[in-house]
Amino acid sequence: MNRREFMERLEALLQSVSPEERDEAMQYYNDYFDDAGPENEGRVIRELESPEKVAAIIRTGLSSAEDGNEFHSEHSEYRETGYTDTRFEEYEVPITRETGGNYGGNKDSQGRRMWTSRPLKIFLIIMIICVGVPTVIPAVGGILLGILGVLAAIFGVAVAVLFAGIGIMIGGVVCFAAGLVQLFHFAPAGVLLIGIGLLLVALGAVLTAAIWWLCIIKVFPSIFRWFVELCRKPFQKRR
Amino acid sequence: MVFNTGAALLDAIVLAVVSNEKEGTYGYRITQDVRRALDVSESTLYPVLRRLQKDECLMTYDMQFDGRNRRYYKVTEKGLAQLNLYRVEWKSYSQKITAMFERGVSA
Repeated sequence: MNRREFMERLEALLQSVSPEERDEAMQYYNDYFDDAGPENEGRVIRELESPEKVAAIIRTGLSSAEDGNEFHSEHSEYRETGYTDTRFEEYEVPITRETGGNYGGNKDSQGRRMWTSRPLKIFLIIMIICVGVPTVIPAVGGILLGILGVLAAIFGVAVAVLFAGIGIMIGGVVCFAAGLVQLFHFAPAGVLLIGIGLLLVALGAVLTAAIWWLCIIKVFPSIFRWFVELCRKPFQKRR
Repeated sequence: MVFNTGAALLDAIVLAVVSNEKEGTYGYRITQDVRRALDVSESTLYPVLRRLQKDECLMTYDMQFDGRNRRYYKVTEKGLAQLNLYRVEWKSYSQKITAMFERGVSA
């Protein structure tokens, strides 16, 4: 964790206190890092331990000040190791040492500590990557390609309907033309063909316009946006 | 330090440290100065300073330093009075304890 991450986390943890108090604390710790200098950044962060601990101490200081009590006088004291607020101590003595008391108990507690050790964590992460990547990437890839397939199918249907509409319109025009020719041979049939032709042109035009409006203007942009959003999501979470 | 002590002594030490700087001093330096007497952790002093400020024993002001605003702490009249009270108390307390210890040694 670097200074920026530390301060961002601290600010987030102080959302429950008033903006005035938050600004005060942020000003103090920003000054503190500035005055300690970049070369001491790591040491300061180590000594502060964690943003959680700093935030807890700030909040406790505020609540006891509001109560009008002497500041955490009941809970704090000086020890060989320095000034300590006993509420923020982490008890590192394993319980097994008290109950077990013998050599076996000690070994047990140390063994348990091993499970949280750094090398083991790194090993577990490597294992997760080794096992996870070969299964997760094909799975995610498959799902994405599946979605892509469904989208392509929808697109295909839309294109088919569009061309059907255009086809009906062309058929209508042809029918209308045939009706005009027929008008001179047998007038009622001509009028009928002209009527059917006009109806077909209208039908085709409505179909074409409807599918155009539905797909090109409404559906496709939103599907496209949704798909892009879906692909971006795993990367956004990491920030 | 093997003796466990309450927060009043920390208040007194912080007031003493800040009052030693006539022009005021800042958080990092206060921490370093207090650490010459007590092994306080870096997160301990902010709430103490903030509370002393609210009790009007300390006042703050911002001053440009190195192209940024640095917050300075300065002891107020009330803070000085409080510090004098602590001084008197500490003197009588430490004298009594010292006398008791040294009588024990000579007996």
